[in-house]
Amino acid sequence: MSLTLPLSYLFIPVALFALIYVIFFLINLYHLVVYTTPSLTGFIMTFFFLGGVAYIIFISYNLLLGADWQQPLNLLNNYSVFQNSF
Amino acid sequence: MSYSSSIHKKIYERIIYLLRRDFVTFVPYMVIFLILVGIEVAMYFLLKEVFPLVFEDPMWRPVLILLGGVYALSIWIFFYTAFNDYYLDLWIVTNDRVVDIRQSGLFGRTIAELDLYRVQDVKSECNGIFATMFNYGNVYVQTAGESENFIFRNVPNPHHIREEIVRLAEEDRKHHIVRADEEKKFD
Repeated sequence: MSLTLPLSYLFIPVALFALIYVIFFLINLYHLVVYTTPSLTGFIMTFFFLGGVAYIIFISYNLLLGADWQQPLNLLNNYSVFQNSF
Repeated sequence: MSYSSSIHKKIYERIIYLLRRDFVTFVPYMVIFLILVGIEVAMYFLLKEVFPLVFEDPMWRPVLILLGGVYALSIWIFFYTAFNDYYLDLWIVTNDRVVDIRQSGLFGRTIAELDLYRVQDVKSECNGIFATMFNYGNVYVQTAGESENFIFRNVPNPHHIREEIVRLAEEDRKHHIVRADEEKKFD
């Protein structure tokens, strides 16, 4: 049996990951804000972290521009690209 | 919130030391992070070299980019969490007590305190080549009672900190003796 869902279904696990990611970040931020005095180190580190997140998302978004999300997601059968290489 | 309010500082209390683990002890996390970044870069070049068609395939290309993005974001938050874990471990030495604040991962936090006049024995140690080179190590603060003893882990200048705690404990004991004598006189 083959999976023939469109590629856009990949956004479901990615959205779930993003949700868990935001929760983890908020818990980290909560600890920094509640348990320490406001400090330049904590602020710089958080700013640096958010900048990194924005950069990774920006790069991924640019690389994904033009992708056809209606392509069938056929991970189990579409492995010809791996075979043809040998 | 300031440290003074987080430890409910008494009126006569002064914060003498705010101690964190030496920054050198955070370097291994940075190395692990760089290795994990290196793995992603290596995987990209390996795939490009061995399976050149994979990044042109309309299905595999988005799948791999999404996987790469998720991996990069994961190691990035691992690094941020490791920093928080390092940064939130704190030992506060005042002229009255020692407060031990420890962050264990993302969901564990322990706060304990010890009155300086109860301190009986303080030991410091620098073990290993890096600890000796960068002058960091552990300070063990022990009391006579059955209560938990404190360990300041990998703090900078451990021998100096030991001396200071011994001095502060002595001063605090004198202060308590004087106060006890005054209370006896009033009785």
